Amino acid sequence: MTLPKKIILISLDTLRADHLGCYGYSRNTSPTLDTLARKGIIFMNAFSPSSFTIPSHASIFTGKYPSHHSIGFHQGNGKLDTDIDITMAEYLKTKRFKTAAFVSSFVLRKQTNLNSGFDLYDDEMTSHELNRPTELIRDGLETTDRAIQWILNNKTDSFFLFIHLFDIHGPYVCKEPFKSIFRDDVQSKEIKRLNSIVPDNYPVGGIPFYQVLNKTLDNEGNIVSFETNLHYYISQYDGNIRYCDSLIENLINVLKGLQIFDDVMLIITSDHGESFGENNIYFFHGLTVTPEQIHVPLILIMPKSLSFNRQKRLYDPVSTMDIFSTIVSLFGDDPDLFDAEGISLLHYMEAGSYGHNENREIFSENEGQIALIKKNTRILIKKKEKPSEPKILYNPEIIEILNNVTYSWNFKDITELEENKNA
Amino acid sequence: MKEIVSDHECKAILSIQAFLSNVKNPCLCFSGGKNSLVLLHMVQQLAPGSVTVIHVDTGAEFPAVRSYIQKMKKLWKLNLIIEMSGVNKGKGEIKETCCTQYLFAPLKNIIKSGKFDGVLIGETSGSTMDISNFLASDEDSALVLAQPLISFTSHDIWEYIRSYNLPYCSLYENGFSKIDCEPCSFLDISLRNESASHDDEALIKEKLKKLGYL
Repeated sequence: MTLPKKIILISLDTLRADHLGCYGYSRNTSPTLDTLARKGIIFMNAFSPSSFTIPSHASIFTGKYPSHHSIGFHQGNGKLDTDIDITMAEYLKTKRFKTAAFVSSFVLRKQTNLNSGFDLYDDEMTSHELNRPTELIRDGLETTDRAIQWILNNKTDSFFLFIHLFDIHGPYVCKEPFKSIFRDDVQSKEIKRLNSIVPDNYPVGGIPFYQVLNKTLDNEGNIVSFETNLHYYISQYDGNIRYCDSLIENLINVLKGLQIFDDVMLIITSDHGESFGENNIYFFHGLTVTPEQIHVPLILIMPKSLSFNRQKRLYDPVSTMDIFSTIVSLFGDDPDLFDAEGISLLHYMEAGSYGHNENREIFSENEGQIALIKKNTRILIKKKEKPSEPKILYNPEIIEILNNVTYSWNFKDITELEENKNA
Repeated sequence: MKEIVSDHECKAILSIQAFLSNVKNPCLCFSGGKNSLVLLHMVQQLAPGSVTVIHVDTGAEFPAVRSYIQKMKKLWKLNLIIEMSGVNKGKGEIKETCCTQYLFAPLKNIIKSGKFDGVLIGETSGSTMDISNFLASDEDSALVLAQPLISFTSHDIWEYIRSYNLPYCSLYENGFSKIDCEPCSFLDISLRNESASHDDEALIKEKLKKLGYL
């Protein structure tokens, strides 16, 4: 088998799978991703090992569950132990790949050590969130422009490029023309008012403070009015998905223009989803490992030189943690050597079935909850008997309430949805 | 990836090439420190897997070093032998005596028992040469000793590590300039202002204690 010479991993922060056309969404949020999914391999039931940004990205990079990589469940002060964990970038360095990362949020800054193995880790932030000036971010256009410039400078080399886009993450500040693209459609004409603003550390039953849009202030800085319609917020979230889709379209056009697109192994995924009212939580993630927060897209485009059936839609549950093992296997190495807990998806992609991994169980976890996901079974979510220590990011009372709720979700729902749509 | 190779690097590579062509069963001493990392990387680039890597655990290694050694074994697929030399805690012992008992002697034993006929050592221009002197003192041995990095300064070493983006032990990020066993390791005081008070030093030591390093 010819080995891939270029690998591009794109993480679209906070993107729930069911808001993409290729996962059955009614709005045209993702024409580029839908085209890629038709031409490549789409995993209809891909799950993130966590619903928070840093633990989840650490799992993607190391192939380990948050319980087992050194960042654990730490979000704000998480730091990878570089003496212990081996990252995807470090591994690819041993294959003489150039490695670069362009991230769009301060959350993934170098100090997390997620830069381990990257020759270049561009975490220079150029703006800040609307309602939290201390949360530094960078517009996806600037991030992808920098990544494209790097590609232009390294187009003849073997490389691993990680691009992280943060535009879909709240607050859903959306630029024209994407701001209005779904704002006035039929779905947005529905009205559901959320009349209260709730603290970010108690994000139940209202709009978390950091998410508030269209607010007006009085002379003393008090909020006197703000956007209250749930569907407006969702239209802006969807508009930002379309924005990121256009950035990916531009990136692909550059790769095609350079005549290297066929050489690229392209992986598109997300670190977690977002709640839009599930469990009375709005515009938030990280509190639970329920489907809307962990069901994420996973689309793979394999290089033409690899002898894969390039068009497949696969339904068995996989984890984004499997990306690490899949890449390691492509190079003929055993993921177990690196203590990876994910599995290589190569066989699954070739054969269309899990084979000896038929009864595989995957997990998603946060501090208080664990979700068990298995083929043809529902997601079972239960409270962890022994919550991990130390850290309480959010109000313990909230976590306690959520932990006592049981959930179920059947894979069949989305399978049937897709089949009906195609019919 | 680095594209311009320095004179130092050229000399070291030539030295390693000559060594490998003259030795049938070579080994390399890997402490987990920066010098032996550079040496190991050069060998891996030239002839991956061709050299047995030996690490002597004196019993007083930093936990971080032990983890790092295991990581490097997996990442670079090292043919690694770890020799546990005893239960040295090193407290209050004289460095020379301590090193001889817990590091040099076990190293010599493993070289003999493994029938290695050549050893690569990461000594640099600033090194004390203790290991080389000890190994060379054995008149019965026909062991080939090579020190390809002998013209490297500490600056050269760091330049090499950064230009190749090599994974190095995190202790260097915690203020250590050199990694020996725990008792003999010291802070890189040159990074601090000469006028720094004893209080500053005490504070740093206290911080390191909390991190579990002292």
